[in-house]
Amino acid sequence: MSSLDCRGAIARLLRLAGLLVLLHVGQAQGDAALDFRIGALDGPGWRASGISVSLHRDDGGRLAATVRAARLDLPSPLAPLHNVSAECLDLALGTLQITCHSLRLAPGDDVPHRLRALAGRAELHRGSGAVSWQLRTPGSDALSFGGRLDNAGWRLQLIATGWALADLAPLAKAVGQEWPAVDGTITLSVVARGSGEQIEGAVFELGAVGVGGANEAGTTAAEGLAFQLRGSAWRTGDALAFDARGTVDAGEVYVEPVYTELAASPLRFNVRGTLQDARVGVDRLVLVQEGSVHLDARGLLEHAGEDGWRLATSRLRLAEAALPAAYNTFLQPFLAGTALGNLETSGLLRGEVELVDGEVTEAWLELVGVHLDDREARLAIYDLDGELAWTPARNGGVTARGRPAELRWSGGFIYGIPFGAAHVRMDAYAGRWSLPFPVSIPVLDGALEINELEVGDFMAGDDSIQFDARLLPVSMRELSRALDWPPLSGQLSGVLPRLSYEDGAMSIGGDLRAELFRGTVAIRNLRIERPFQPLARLVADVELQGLELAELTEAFSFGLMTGRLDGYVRNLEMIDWAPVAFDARFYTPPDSRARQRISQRAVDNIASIGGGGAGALSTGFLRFFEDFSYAGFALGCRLERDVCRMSGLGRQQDGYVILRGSGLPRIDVIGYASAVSWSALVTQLAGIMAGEGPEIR
Amino acid sequence: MRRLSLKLLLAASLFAAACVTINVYFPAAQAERAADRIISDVWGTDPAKRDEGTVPQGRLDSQRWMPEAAGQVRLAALSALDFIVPPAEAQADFDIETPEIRALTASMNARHRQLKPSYDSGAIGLTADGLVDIRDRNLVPLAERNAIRQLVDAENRDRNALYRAIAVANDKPEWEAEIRKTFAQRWISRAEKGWWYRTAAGNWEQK
Repeated sequence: MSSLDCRGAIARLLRLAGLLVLLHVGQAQGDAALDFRIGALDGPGWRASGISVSLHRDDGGRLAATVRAARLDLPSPLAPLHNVSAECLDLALGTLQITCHSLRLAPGDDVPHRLRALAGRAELHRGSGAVSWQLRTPGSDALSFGGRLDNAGWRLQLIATGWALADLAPLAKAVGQEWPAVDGTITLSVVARGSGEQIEGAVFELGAVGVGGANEAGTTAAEGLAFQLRGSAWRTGDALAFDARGTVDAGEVYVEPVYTELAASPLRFNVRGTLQDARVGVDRLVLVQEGSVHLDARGLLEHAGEDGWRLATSRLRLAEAALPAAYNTFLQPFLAGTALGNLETSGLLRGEVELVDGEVTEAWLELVGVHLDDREARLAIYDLDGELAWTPARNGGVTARGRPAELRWSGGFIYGIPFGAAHVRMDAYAGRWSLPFPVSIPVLDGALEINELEVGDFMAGDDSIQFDARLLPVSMRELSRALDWPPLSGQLSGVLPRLSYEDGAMSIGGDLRAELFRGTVAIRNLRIERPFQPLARLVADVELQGLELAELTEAFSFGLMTGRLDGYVRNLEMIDWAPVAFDARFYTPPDSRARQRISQRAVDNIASIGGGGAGALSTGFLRFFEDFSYAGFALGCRLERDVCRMSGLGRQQDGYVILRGSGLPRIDVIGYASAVSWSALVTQLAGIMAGEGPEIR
Repeated sequence: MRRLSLKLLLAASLFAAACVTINVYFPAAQAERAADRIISDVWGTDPAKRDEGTVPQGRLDSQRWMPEAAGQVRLAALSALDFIVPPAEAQADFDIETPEIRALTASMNARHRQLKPSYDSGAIGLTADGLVDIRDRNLVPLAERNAIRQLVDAENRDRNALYRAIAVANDKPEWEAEIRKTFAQRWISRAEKGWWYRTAAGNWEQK
């Protein structure tokens, strides 16, 4: 609608009214009245039909006019209004202007309840044809609406105070928009100017409290939000530029899976951009959540017809994400259920992501002084610095900008085992990251030497890891101390060829060897399923050879035994790091030439494992002997379903021989309990080891 | 002679044909009993109820499932029952006494305390494929929605592992789907009044 046309129509109507009134004035003093009807009046974009006009003078001699329209069609997208009436109770017809001192406007039932009665004044300047008005809701300051139309254009001013958002549903419907079910009240002030259908500029201020609502699925929801937004818009060429800033400082928001509480950490934002046709270009959006994230973004939104708005391109820069706030709010929900799902964190993250047509085309992440500490004590890493860059493989590999992935840290723990500082660089090649040169990571007093490491493109869903490493000797004393075991002697070393991680399971292709108590222990066929998750499952075969019994029994406070020990733990299965099945047997090699002696205490302990009472030897004459000579020892346990099927050197009577003595006095230990509850056995062994109290060496 | 050998051949092939097919059907009743015992353990329902119709697994089991004195009496009663119950009914039960199954059951039992209010409110419900799912997030306070989502994920990880573990423990990995189906029916039929479940057609219904 052109303002000129509109003003022309109003002016014509008023002039007609004025003429008619003047004609009647002299004839019928006091009760002059004129009623007439007009079928329709229209202008570009609007049309009023079923119009009736009534003019009369009241008892005080004031001129009053009433105009009613059965239907008023407004420019699209505004819906038509029905039964609109304007009543002017005090019409002054001056030479320069026509003034309505008391105007009552009733826009009908199509507008929200509070807008159905408006009062104010209006003026028409006869010379310029300018129309101006000021209307407000009577008896409250819920709304004030003023404006001016002249040759130069229009200016509108709207102030709405304390409006329940739910009340705006009819207004939204009037402009053809679905209005979501939202709670809350807003206060709005807008001053806009323009000409014809074009806005030249606007200044607005919006405040809201108690805003809440949710989508049907409940995946996006807010409660009790309070926010302030102020900004302006102005025309530049064909586009409308805008600039707005605001804060959200109360309430809570859930956008699955992220939840944030805004009273404790308010969100500040400002946005600058342009609106042109069906495109919104955001030149800069800055979002700051206190103590958590600071990010800026730019992008282009396009209106794609039926599908609504679509993000065509965008670039998101994470200026800073402060841990732990950023981890707790934004990262943990995505990492839940993984090894990184339950961490204490500190440090900073920075990054950048570029999206084109909804797909990530480039991502970069920098870590600054990051500490990660698993609350379930599975892993920890300290002073982690470095950067990771990624582009999809089709863009020429997993790095971005030719940068390698690089990580440095000062230390950490894996299941209680400490590791030291290292610097790892990974180059990207053919969609995988790999190590360009070997890396050595200190582990206790030894080191893990990684010769080969290949990591799949996990951003594209390939989380496989190939690994070839060697464990340089770690002293068992240090390891047992770290794991809170009884102090063991010897060294752990080995080759870990073809260690791989695939489908959530870790397996080692080669043998892990330990030199323990002057013998060797080999771990084969090691496989760990769900290593960093609850109910991790481990399977392995363990072979022992030539262990020095004197050192072993001393370490476990078992009572002294001398000789050598061989054995195996085959088909070992552990769930949640506790053994649930194995076939184990420990024995002195039959061809051993070592001197084999056993102390009284050790005999007692072996007897108690075999089902005999402890202290069998402390009575009688045998108590005078400190130790005894023995010919052989063997103890086997086949664990299945919590029951240990025991075995020894061989069957004798109803039992099995655990220890066969030699010389004089000769002692045989025979076990009769062939099925022992595993949990009872573990308690018993723990009791034996604790018997002499903790040993600190 | 020729006739005789032909007859022999016929008889032999008939015999062979008659002997080839051996159908091993899924032991539905036993699976149901196994499911009920695990469900009782997970949901911590009334012990008197949860043992209905179950046959003890052995010494260790009976210790695990009931107080000692009650167990003695029950064992005696059951030995008497063994005489009366026909052999078909007394088939070996499903083996659910492996450490892995016990660990999974214990983990689900611990989680159930956190999930129960959401079952009660209707925020979550049981599904026709033996899992749980969120029915209506809007019944959960915003601050707890993410926690519920993670609990449901963890519960489903355990449930999937449980069905697989039972199949493997009984040396019948191919029964996993049947076991899942049995569990799905038993979870739903033993759900408390007011809890919700989703049918195979995808509709939520209330018990």
